[in-house]
Order: sequence, then C-alpha cells, then structure tokens
Amino acid sequence: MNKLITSVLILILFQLGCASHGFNRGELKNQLGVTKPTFDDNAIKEAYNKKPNLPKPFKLAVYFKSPAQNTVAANWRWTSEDKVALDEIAKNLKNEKIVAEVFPLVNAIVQDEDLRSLRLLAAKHQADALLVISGAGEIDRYINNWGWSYALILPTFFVKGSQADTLFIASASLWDVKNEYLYLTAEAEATSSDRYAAAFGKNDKDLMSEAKSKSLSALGSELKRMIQGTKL
Amino acid sequence: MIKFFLLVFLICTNSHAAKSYLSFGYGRGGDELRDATGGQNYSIKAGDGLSLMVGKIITISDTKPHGFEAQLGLGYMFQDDGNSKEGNQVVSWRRIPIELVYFYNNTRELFRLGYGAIFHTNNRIDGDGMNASASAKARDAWGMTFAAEKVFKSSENPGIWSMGLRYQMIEYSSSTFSKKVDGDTLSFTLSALFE
Repeated sequence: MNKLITSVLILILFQLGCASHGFNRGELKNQLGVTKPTFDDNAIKEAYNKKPNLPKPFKLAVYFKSPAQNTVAANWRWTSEDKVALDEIAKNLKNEKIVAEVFPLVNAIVQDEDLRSLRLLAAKHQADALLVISGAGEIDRYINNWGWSYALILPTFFVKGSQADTLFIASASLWDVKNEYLYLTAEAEATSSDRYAAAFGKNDKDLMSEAKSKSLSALGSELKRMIQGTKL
Repeated sequence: MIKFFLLVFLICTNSHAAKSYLSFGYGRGGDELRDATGGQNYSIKAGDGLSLMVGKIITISDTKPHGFEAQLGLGYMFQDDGNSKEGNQVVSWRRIPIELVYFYNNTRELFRLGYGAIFHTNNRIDGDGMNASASAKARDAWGMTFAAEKVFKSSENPGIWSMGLRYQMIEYSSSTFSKKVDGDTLSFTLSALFE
C-alpha cells in the first residue's frame, strides 16, 4: 500500500514538473507598436487616400525603438552588434539602387518615440523614408521533471532540471516621411531554449541576446525580400 | 547540520536575487525548564517564546511556478513567566536563533514549504528573587525546522507577506541542568517580505 501511494505521488509530481506557463504574446505585441491608431471611418479614409511618393533611389532613416519599460519582460537593449546586422541589408539595397543612403536616427536626440516625432526628426535629416525597428522579448523559466530533485539541495549543482525558453519578436515598418504612407511591415520571431542546473543558469541578458540576434537576422532577410518585392 | 549550512551558502553564492524578510512568531512546546533547573516556582517550557527574525531570502531557482529559495535569518526569542512577576520572582528564557531554511516556493498557488537547520546561541535562563537559583546558561544547540506558509500578494500593494506554521526540533543541555531539555515547538509565524 505504501509503495502504491509513493508511486502515485511520484507520478503526480512528474506531471507537475513540466509546468511552463508559456509566453504572453498579447503583451509582446503591445510593446512592438509604433502608433496607436484611432479606429474611425475618417481615419480609415485618410489612410486609404495616402499615396506613395518615394523617389528612386531614396534616402532611408533607420530608428531602433527603445524597449518598453515597466513590463514583466526581461530587460534588454539594442546593441551595436544588432545595428550592424542590418548593415548588410542596407548595402544590398544600395547596390540595387533602391536606396541612396541609409543612416541611423540616434536615440540621444529623440525625445518622443511616437511616429510623428520620428518623422519630423527624419525630415530634418532630409530622409525620404523612415524604417522603425522595434522588439519585444520574454523569458519563461520553469523546471522540468528532474527539477523536483532540487528539493534535496545538492542536485541544484549538477542536475539540469531548469529550463529557460526565450522568445524575441522583431518588427519593422517602413513609412513615408512626408505623408505617413505605410510601405511595408515585416516581423520575425526567434526562440531559444536553455536547459541548466539551477546554480549555474545563464542570466536574462545573455538569453535574450541570443534570441534577439536570431530574430534580427530573420527580420533582415524578411525585410530584404519585402523591399525587393514591393513597388516603392 | 554544518554541512547543510555550507551547502546552501555555496549555492547562494551562485544565485540570483535576494529579498529581505521580517518575521514574528509565537511558539509553544517542549519540556518544563524547572524540571531541569531544580524545580523552582515558575512555568516556562523550553520551546515557548515570542520570536523576531530578520534576514535575507536568496533565490536558488527562479523558475515559475515551482521555485526554490534559501532563507537565512538572525533573531531573538524570549519568554517570561508572567505568574512569577509577583514578589519579583521573574524568570525569563532567552536565546538568539540563527536559521537557514530551504524553501519550495509555489508562485501560482502562493505557498511555501521548507526545511532547514537552526542554531540557538546565547541561551540563558535569568531568575530573580526566590527563583534566582533557576538562572542558567544552556549550551549552543543545533536543531531542525520544518515550515509551511501561505503567501499573500496584492497587485495594488507591492508588499508580500506570509502566514504559516513552523515545527522546530531542538534539545538544550547545560552543565547545571539535571537532564537534557526537549525544546520541540510548534509556532505560528507572520512574515513580511521586501524586494
């Protein structure tokens, strides 16, 4: 009888072990937004009446939107390596004579990150188009079945009973600086997974950096495909 | 017990965030101290007492909803025999507890279960008047503790607090005691956690 009870308890614990709560994609999508559109007929009519008017080749300003603050998502920042990742795309676009010049809008001179303020700043730089890149990430840490051994303390050193799943979504939108015409949007997500012993896990920053790099790489490819496929 | 302390300390050096805690408790239990001190006119059990603990909670595994953390604290425990206050025969029982408790923390159902080591030092009985002969110093003692707590969190209030039960197993001895004294106690605790 005791063996039966023990076996049932162990089975229940194993069922509870894989207890990932998943990612909050709704919250992540909110962090990616560049504008907060008002949903009325006039706004829709106004957006519909806008026309593209990019010269060929055009000058492109690129802005990396700051990560959302005060969220449950892990802290992360855009790094110089992230910005370099898109240089290859810029180079290809220049070679194909789609873009004349690509330059960054520096965060230090941006006061508000709403679309109108960014367009104004891009206009001051004589840019024809504005590419806004935003990102959002989340880390889900949970224990797998082996994680229950952490109750004995010593296994925290060598049993890989912890799991960290990281999701990073990178998004890009290309706007006309003069009239806010939206030429294209692109999105790419990447996940990474790390299994570790509790005492030696990677910190949030390292996990997020890994997923962010993968996501940006995929976004770059998606952007290139969309720019080449769209009549700008 | 020492190995337990060392093991958890070692893990803590590789761990993540630390929170602070403040805890109040009241416990009852154990042997009557007077049976070991010579049968004076007072009544205090070895496990009785009000306790105040402060310390740190260090996250060992920050996984959700099943997490693990270590709680290291230092405090003060005391119990006076109220009846012996008449005629200035006050007897008080005081000790300084140090605890290291390893907790399983369920962040979804909001409860904690823990076990750990306790170390009581500076254990002394102070007697006045006719109970002066009860005065004694007990040796430092190691023991074990088991805890179960319900955690309360509010989205409006950033504070976290918990309420629970502790069972503590410890034995005191002294060169002046006629026998070893069992200090096993069941306590009710109330704690506040600070980020």
